[in-house]
Amino acid sequence: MDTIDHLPKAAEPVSSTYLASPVFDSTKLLKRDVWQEAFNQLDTFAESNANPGLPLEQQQCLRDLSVDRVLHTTLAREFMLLETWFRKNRRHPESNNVAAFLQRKQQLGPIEWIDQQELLYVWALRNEREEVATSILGWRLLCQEFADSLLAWSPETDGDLRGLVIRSWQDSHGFYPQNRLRIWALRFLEDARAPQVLVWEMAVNQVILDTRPELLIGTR
Amino acid sequence: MDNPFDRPPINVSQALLAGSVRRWTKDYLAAVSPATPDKTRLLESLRTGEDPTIRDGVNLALSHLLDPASPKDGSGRAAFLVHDGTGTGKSFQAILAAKAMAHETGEPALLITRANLLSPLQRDLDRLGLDSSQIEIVAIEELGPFLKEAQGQRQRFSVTIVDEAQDCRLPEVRRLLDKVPSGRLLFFSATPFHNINEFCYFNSKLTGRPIQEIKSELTSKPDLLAAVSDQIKQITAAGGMVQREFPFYGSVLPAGTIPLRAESQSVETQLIDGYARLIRGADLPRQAGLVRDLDSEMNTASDNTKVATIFERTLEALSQNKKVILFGDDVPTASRILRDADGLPKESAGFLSAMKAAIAAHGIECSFLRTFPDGSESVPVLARERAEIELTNAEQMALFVDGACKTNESGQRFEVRGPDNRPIYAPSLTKVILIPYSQAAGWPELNQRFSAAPEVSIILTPSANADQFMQAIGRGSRRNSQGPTDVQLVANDSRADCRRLSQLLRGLQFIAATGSPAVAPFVSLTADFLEKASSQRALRDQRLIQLQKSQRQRSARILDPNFLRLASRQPGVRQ
Repeated sequence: MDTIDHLPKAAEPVSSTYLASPVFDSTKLLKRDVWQEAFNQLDTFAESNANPGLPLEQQQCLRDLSVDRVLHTTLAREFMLLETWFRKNRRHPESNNVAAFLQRKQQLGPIEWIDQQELLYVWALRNEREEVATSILGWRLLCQEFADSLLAWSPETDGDLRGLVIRSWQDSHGFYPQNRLRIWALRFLEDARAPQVLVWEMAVNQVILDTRPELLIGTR
Repeated sequence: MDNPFDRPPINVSQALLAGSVRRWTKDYLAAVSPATPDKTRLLESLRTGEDPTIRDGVNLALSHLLDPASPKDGSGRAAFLVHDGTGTGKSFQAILAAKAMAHETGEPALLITRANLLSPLQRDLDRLGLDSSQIEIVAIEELGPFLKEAQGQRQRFSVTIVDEAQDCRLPEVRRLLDKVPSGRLLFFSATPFHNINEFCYFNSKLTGRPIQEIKSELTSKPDLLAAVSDQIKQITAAGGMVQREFPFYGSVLPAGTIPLRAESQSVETQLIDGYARLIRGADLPRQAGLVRDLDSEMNTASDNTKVATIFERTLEALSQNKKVILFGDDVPTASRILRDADGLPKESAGFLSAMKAAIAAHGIECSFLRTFPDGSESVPVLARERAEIELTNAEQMALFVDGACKTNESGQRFEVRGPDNRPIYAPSLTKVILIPYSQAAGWPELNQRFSAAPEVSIILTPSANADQFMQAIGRGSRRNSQGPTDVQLVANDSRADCRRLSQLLRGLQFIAATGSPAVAPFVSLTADFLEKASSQRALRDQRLIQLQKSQRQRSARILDPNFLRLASRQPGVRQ
């Protein structure tokens, strides 16, 4: 309908599934699949036990945060195990690839980043009239849509680690989807859709640093 | 007007399959007997009375769940959905199905409902003269710890019965349900599917097909809604679900959009142009935030142009001795684009707040429910703020609800009942209530519950959310309504309204595709409104284009040297 189409629209995120290089696979080098191990060990009842009686939506939100933490911890563990491997296998034909992959570690940041998202969100809700709040709330909306598109795409990727990680979101879509998206993007930086996620984060962080740096204390 | 609640509800499933709906062969309900001998009447009437709704529901569900040939999901469970509308007796069916299944299999049944519905469920159990032997009743909020304990004790259940199964929209609920040690699932919900994802979940449970396969099949069809209807028909024909529903009890005012005044049109254009400029230079997160803000500004601006009209209609309803329930949004804005005379951002009150002020200015007292903060349902840190609002909203609601009430020692309100155990009528203190759409659900006493009480008039502004819209309508037309409700939608031809009406229509059409007859009048109403608003807009835009064209032609002529020469030779023009 014309009256609707004339409204300004935000630009569309990159949706190409193109891979600049093959997805880095640590399983053969480490002789273990750290991601599968993590998903197997997700405690089925952890959140419900910790918070019985809370409304369902709150239990879901807490569950989402615990999944975010598992994803963060798993990537951190993969980096750590690969560092150990690298120290022992510098002459291995794969060592260059591992070194390149390990460079992503510096962008991972502390796990507190995950809890920080709630503080940012609540602050933005309470200060909606500030310019920076628009960026913070818009970032979450953008990530929600993008995470949904990845979730819809994931069944098409049989046996692909990119899809396996996304499928772990099935039971928890993520209240702050930026948490899991940045882990996914860092892990699969070779995917054409990944770099933009980090660009969005950088843009929002820059606005916060310029206007409300106190909101980022402890996460950088 | 004939009260449709005096008759059994419409059997939607039967209508869908032109009467060829599956019939039950064994009366499982016959085996359920009351534990309290002096309370046999209700149960007896449900077994043998004129209204077969409850007996059919229980027997159809058990026939399907106990049939070894019924389809099973990935974990080997058979499932059945009772998709009955409000007031059709779902709680009774849930209790009786639990009892009958436990009796049939010898294993206890697990009945899950929301924590706040445990007491009403216990009351229903008592009304039926039954005790809770062989039924485990668990609050869905406590399901995690309960399951951990049940697994430890290697307990098994004959069936898992999920009341208010629309909660399965939450992945956490789905995940926990999959852990219940039980081979059967029985869902009860008036509104199980709000979108394609929720439909695919239930469809998968009822047919045993993978969600992804169902989704791919549906999305590959040229007409998604027809495909959804067709799948519901197939599930019903296979005996996987049943649907009964009461029609809407009341009247719907025909569509008539309010034309937008020139100054409001200009405000809308300024907003759109201004935001377009901001969006052009922004990064993606900010763009997404700006689109959200534009939406809020346009909706509030559009709704605030309706204050006078809605106030007039409220007065008219009050003069006809009706009570008024007004649904809308309440989003205050400080414009990014528009400025006040002093150069500061133009501030606008939210629509409901503006209505409240207009009503108060005329000395009319009204009840006003405050909006919860965004995200407060999910974010624990916002829970206290939400609880405070809940408290004040409950107080406001108490002023509007009819019926005699008393307060006990602990400050809780309770209804005063007469010797026949029926609530006693007392008129409400306020006759008008303003409710944000986000809080349309969950108020069961807003309708005309007493024949001596005034009729109810519902006035709504457009909402993009079809579920909230139908929840709002449902406040007036309920099982115990003693009189009809009139519904009037108030919309104009602004872009904000055209957009919301268009989204609303899509949502209502989806609900209608799942077989809900009560939604039918509102699909037509919304479609009529959208058509009127769109054509009104198109006509106006055409006039505007024509006007701009002739203005351009005039300016072109003025700038044309030949025209200037000719014009200067006209009599009266000084050389």
